[in-house]
Amino acid sequence: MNPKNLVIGIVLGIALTAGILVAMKTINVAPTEPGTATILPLKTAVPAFSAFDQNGDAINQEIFKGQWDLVFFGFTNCPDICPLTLQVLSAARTQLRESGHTPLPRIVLVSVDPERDTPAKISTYIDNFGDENLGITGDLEEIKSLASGLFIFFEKQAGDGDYYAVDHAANVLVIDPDGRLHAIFSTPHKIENFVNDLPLVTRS
Amino acid sequence: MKILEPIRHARSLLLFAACATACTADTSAPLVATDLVVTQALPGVMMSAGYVTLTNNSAEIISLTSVSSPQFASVEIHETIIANDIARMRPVEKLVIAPGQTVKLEPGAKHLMLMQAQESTDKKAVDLITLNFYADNLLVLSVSTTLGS
Repeated sequence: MNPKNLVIGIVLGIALTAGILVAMKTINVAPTEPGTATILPLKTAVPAFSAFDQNGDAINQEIFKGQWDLVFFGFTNCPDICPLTLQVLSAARTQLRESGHTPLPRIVLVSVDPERDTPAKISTYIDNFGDENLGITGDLEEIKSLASGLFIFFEKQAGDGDYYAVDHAANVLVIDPDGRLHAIFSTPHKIENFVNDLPLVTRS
Repeated sequence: MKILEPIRHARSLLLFAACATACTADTSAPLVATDLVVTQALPGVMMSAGYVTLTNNSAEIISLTSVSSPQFASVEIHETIIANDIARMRPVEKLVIAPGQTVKLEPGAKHLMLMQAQESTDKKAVDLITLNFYADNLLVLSVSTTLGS
């Protein structure tokens, strides 16, 4: 190749690349991949379980079908990380609603302390974090079965009578409308993580 | 640098730094509390959380070993530890604050856990929370705030 043409080619290539980069920055190209959520390549179905919702009605794995769910395993007597996480989810859901995003995910709290968390207590608790939330509690072994099927760890700690803590997974699971574990948000949880990533997750 | 000896330093440390809703903390006191918040327990929940910023203005290490409140049966310093996406809450036996150091008790980290709110017969005082911080058995700081502020 003529050296002169080679130089011209290189200059044109650099100019084209720079132009593309400037154009992408100018028009603020939206990301196509989630920044913090992990979309799972293999979708695992929610395992069979039997429990109660916040109204005391019997539910099973079918409750997770038909909508997108953000699922957090926690407990009402958790004074710090649980309300913090649910506040983040609630605020993110509000922002998504205000921006017109659909489908709007449901917030689900599964109690890792079903001994203390009655349906009535769960009902009162989740009402603090918005409308249309789902609370799940029930027999401890059933909750353990649900948790382990979704790769969630929890373990009651020693305490004094009714005063004890429960160690538990702090990530937020995304369940798709087919009732399958679709994606995971790891800690730390921030409102913008959910607002930015959920539109990408729900169309992936 | 010496560990605080409660009896020898009792006089100076008993200069309380009080911080109510309209915080008027004495910033020259040995231990100063600011940004005190006690969350209102959600209905049906037995526990509240407390958050505060503590500054050691003294020349000695201050080691807080316990906290009490007339409005709660028990108050403990706890720490939320998140590792590998697992949240664990553990009691903190001793909160050590070096001279000149500021320690924050904040959401998702070290915090106060207030258990079993006491019934109050005084309707006006029902929302006022007082927290007493001790180094061993010596009261070193007493602060008040309104619930949920």
